[in-house]
Amino acid sequence: MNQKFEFSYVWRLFLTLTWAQFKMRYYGSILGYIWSLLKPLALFSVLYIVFTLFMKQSAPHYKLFLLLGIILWNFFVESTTAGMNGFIGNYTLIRKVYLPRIILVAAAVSSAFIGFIFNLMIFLVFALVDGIEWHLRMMWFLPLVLAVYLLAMGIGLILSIVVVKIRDTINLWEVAVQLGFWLTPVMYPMSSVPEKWRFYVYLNPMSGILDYSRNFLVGTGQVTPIGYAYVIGISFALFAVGVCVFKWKEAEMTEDL
Amino acid sequence: MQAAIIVKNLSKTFRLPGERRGTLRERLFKFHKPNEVNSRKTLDDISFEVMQGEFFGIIGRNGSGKSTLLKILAGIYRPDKGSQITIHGRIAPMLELGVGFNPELTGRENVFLNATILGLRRKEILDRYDSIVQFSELEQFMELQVKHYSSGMSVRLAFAVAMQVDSPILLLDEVLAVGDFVFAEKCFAHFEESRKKGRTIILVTHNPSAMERFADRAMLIHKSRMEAIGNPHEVLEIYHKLR
Repeated sequence: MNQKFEFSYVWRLFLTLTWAQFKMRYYGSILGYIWSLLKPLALFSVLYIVFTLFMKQSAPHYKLFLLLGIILWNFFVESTTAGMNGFIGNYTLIRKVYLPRIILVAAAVSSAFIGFIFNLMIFLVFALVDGIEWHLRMMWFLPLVLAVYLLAMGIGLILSIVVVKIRDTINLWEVAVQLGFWLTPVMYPMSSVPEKWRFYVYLNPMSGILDYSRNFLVGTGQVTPIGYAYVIGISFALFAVGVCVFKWKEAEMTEDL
Repeated sequence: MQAAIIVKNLSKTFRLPGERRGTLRERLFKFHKPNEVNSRKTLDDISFEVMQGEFFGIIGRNGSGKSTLLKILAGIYRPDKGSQITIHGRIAPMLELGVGFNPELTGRENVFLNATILGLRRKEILDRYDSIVQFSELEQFMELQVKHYSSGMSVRLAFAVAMQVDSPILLLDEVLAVGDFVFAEKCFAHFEESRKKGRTIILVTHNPSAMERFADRAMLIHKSRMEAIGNPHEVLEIYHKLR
């Protein structure tokens, strides 16, 4: 009996909600959008000082290595957290309007994605200053941008459903991403991970996304075709799982909100 | 006349929220016990038809199930198995005024957001923007954040946007409860006009006078069941006798 949504309606709604949520993030604050740039830069500065001054990290382009890692990780955390709240956070809307509910989560993740794109531009400026030269293999980075977006969307969709039943998920996820920050090669290179553990670190799709992005853009580390395929594949797969889980449970969760 | 909505044997059972295990701790400590099935029938075997172009009123006490009925018609909740609902024509997706409003955004931004949720295209919104503002009487306040609006102001804006919906079937849940009488008159005038255009309107209300004045037919829901259906005057008489 449910009416089908027209694709053009879904698309318009998606764009409007994404933009509105992006605006909302820093609405009313004096610095506004600049905050979305300042936050990763602040973390970057602290870590950079600690690692170069105190721990004498002197890998080539360590600055870019670290900055790219933080930008990617920061996007992952912000988008999954926003996606997790996409369902429960919009409960007045969900209970009063019949709309494609999946769009609410998608828009939350996508609004973080806009911030991520801005951050990448900052990275571009740093890269130019640091003397990185254009190379065709940098194009391999673009599928990774899509992969991290889909990965975040998939996880966000799953979390948004789980959190309706188990509210502890909010706190669990907060702890998980803090642990993840250390278990994922965000500020150390993959080469510093002992050989026997690397396989397990690579199971985490974010490890590959970080490692390979840096390889293509900064030139550190190594890329294997299998690893690259795994990262892209698992991101698409998690996205598909996320969509399925959401579609399967959304109607039930609407009544449980 | 053709039917716009046909409902047959509609029931809706909810699990009661009290017995759910919300937190992980509860789940861990009680995992061996199966979830108790503690359910409540909010709607019990309701059947009715609404004709095209009809103004159909639904009345009932608090908790009688009338809002749930509206949500099922809109598609927000799923009915129980065995219920049959046939709808001819598109239903406006919104049940209450201004639900998509974000208090942090300005009046203007909320008009665009809300109208998009209601299904309008950007160009349509731009074309109708001036008339929306005019109807809401908020010309000087459109750049103000909605959190600074009074409740009357935001209802006016919400109604002005909701009026722009073109779908042939409108579902309205207690829309007239707020706003002063001048504005209420304006809303009624708008309803009259939409009815003349042949739109079907289903209004859920507590307000007997609005019901008597506008509804072609009315239905009374009491304790999850349909108690009466037909002439609004007679239905209201039964409603007033309920204790």
